[in-house]
Amino acid sequence: MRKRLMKVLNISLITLVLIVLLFPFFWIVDSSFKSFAEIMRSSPSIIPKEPTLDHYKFIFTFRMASKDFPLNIYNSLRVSLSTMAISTVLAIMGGYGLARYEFKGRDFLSKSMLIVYVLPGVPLLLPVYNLLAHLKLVDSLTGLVLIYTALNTPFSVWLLRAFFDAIPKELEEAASIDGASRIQSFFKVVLPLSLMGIITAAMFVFITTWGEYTFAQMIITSDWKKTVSLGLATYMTDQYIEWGPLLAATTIVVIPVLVLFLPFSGFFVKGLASGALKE
Amino acid sequence: MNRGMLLILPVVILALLITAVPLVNMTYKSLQKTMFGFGKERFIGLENYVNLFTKDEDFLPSLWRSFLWVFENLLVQLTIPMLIALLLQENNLFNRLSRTLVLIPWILPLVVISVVWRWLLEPNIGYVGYLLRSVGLNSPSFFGNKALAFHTLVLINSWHFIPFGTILMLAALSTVPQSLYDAAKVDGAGAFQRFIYITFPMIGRTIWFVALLAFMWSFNTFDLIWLITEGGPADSTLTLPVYIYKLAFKMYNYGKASAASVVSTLILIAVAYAYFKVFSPKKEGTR
Repeated sequence: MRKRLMKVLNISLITLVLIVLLFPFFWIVDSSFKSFAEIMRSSPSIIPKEPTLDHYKFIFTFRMASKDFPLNIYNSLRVSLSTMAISTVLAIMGGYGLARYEFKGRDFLSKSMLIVYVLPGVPLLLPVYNLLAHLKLVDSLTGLVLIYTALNTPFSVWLLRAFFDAIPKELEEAASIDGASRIQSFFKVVLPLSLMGIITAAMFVFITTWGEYTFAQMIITSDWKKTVSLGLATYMTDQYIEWGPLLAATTIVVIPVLVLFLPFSGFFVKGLASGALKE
Repeated sequence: MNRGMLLILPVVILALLITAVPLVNMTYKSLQKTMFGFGKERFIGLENYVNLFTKDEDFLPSLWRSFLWVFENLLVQLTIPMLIALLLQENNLFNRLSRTLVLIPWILPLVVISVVWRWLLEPNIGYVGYLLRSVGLNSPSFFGNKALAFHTLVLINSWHFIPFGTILMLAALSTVPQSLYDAAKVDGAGAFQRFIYITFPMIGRTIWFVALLAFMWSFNTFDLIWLITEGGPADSTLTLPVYIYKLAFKMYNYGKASAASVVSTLILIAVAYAYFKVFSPKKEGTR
């Protein structure tokens, strides 16, 4: 009896937590199907009275130079996927190097990776801008990829090192006795065993770059190079917010991340448990 | 050069490119006097720093506000994720699904977060205002009120961080062997006692790790504040990063902005250093 009661209490508390955490997102998706008049009502209803797809049609058909949502998505996909690919390859190399080779300063490097990940913020904006200006990469998606890769790879290295550490060296040694080269045994033994960690690291990079705003707004100035965060910002000006298109666009921006991420989120939890927390 | 070093080299170069190079640049600029309009910058030693600490009316208050901001955020971001993690600890279908859903606030872009909260909390058309009115209360102006804006932002920032904190806490909880709980149960320990005497000591380190991440993230919080209040009303949410941004990109005072940036970076490095000094594992072979 008491156990039952605890269980009911537990489930209702979790439900309450979920409502608080999820309501804002639900509200965006929900309202994106409402007419403009209904969005603006001071006594809103949960279920749209007259569901409409107008806002979605609008963002995909009404394209102009300064507001081009499909182009924003295309740009963001290019940036996020490139960053994810480059960063993951570099992180695999780095993580493996830290895990399997002994060298002076290895521990220091390993720790620095975490510091480098949490350190940058507004203080670095200006100098990073100067640096990009030096490299002639201001207002370029390549510049953005460079910055994102630099910002995110250290964390991935840190995460992957722990994964590689967890794989017994003996497995690789066994493979090399069978005649496999170091590279072969890496691809045949280490890679499959650490796939979960690699996926975790890659997803982490994709998600953080997909919605990044601060660096993007500083580096990108041309309308046709804007990424999704900047695209969303074009629907909001100081005087006026275009709620309908903004909500529809937001929904479209978030859905792919959810689709990509949620099925793997179990791995993500496990990945962090075995990776990030292991010391 | 060892092959391991070679493998890590690209990452090190990238990391230096966005930390060491900017830091040097920043330090150099912080020693220069910014000339507005034309004219060359010139070396003025520590004058920018002296000005910040003695003459600047906004610097010290914003620094103080930043510490307050971090403190309030840590308070929320360490307790709530722990509680949620405890609720979700048992492995069943409902909990597995919930663990996935809990992540959603964390993967929303910050632009979206700022917009939706501004909207939800708007006194006239916001849903929160509507809920308050329906129980007979007046909705305050959350971001127009000096006293409220700061705390409201803390809650929104925490709302964003909670998923990540929860995941880390869950991961930590999963490292406590079940056998310990079973043994304690046999000895007649209640749930609360089990938490205090088993869980807490075993995951203490993780809590400190989450605290470090939360500290650094909160100390650096910029997008959220900028997008919602721009540091207002009446500077009540003007934390250090927001002030630095204003100095650099609104007042174009690069010298002063750089000096403030150096101070901010030094604080974070000091915190990270202290963390690793205290918590790094005693020398035992590999790490």
